[in-house]
Amino acid sequence: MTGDEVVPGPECGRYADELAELALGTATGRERAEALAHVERCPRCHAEMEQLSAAADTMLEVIPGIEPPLGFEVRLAERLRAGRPARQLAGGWWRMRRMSPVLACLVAVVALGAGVGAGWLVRGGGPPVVGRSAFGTGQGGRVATRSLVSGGRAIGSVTVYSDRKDGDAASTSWLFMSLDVGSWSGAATCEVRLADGTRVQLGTFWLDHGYGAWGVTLPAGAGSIRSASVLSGGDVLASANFSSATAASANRGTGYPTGRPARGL
Amino acid sequence: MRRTREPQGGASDESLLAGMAHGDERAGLAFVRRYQSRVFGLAFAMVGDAALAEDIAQEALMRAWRHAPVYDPRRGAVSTWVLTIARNLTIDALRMRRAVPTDPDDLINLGLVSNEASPEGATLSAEAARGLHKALSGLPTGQRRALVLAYFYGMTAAEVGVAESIPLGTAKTRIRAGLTKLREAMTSEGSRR
Repeated sequence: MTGDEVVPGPECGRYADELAELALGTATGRERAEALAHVERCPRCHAEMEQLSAAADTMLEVIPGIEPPLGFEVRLAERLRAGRPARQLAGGWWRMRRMSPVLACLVAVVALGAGVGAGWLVRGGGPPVVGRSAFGTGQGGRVATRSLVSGGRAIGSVTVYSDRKDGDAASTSWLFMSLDVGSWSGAATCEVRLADGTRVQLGTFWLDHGYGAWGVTLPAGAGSIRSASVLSGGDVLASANFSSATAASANRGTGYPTGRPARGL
Repeated sequence: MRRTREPQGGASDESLLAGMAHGDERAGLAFVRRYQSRVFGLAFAMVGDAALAEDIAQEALMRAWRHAPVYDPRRGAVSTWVLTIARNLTIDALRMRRAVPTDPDDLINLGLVSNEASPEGATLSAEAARGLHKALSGLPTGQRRALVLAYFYGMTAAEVGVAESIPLGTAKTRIRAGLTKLREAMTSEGSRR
């Protein structure tokens, strides 16, 4: 930019407000047309608008990321394959509400396992056919499902899924649970007991009229999960026993992701 | 202000887009995984409805995928491009549904209280992000609200005036003053580094 360009012209002051609105993309009508015409012939205002646009766009950086609901990738793959513009909003994670808990859990595992298969999502063709188990686990990956038991009755299930062998630094593990435990609504906490006896609360989710489905990513770390419990108000609503070693590994002491609270279940 | 990223996944955003444009499946999957939380987070922050936010996020990523061949790096960072697609779709969705958007204070506070130092796909360094937070929180409330209403919700100055019960001239002044201060803060942040 030269010295001549930074000197405001006689018209520049007239468009000060409009430059900001142009930068934000909200200028309209004749004002917009006039301001654009001015910007086209005024290097100073053009540069000003570019800077304001860049400043406005930095606001996008303020909003934190949130992990989308489970199955997001799979539903995206379905849409890409079908080429349809939009699905009905009642679907998604909330669709599990209408499934049995076991089926919902199975769908979640299949969904995430399928997501691991890189080929499926983009090509829009069939599922990956090479080097994957039925659950889409990588070589050595494991999945284990146990019933959530309350008063001697199975009221849901917990599934722990890992895409690699235990101890593999690159492994990723997930825990999913779904349960239907009567008609009570409120917050419930998922707590796991590790191989060394340590108890760790992984996060809180909502039960809606007794139903809830929830999942969390477990970063690679120490310890296999031996049991998982659903707590509410200090009481154990249900628990699942993984007495045999599972693929679940937990990163003790570094702060578990709490996952996304299940909303609108 | 903008930094070139070679994220943990290895490939840069631009490389992934180039791969997507040539039908590289792994590039597409990596791109989706890199940006899905930010796109969903933005939509969710704006609409406060997870189902609608998911629909918007999916549509945004589909469009990014399909338009990967026409992405022009000279016009901005990939993250800005993707998030702008999501923002515009969210604005459209809010208008079509006449849905009540998240209050501007809540929206911006969500970011200001976030301890997410440098999310995947971020174009700002942690230091620049802190400067941005500081600049936004330092704006007078009226200016900050007007800016958020205009940028995130696509409101014209007249619509901001109605929403905030202020005259059109005041709305225009608040938008301009707020954005100018933000620009100055980001410029001075950039010059310090």
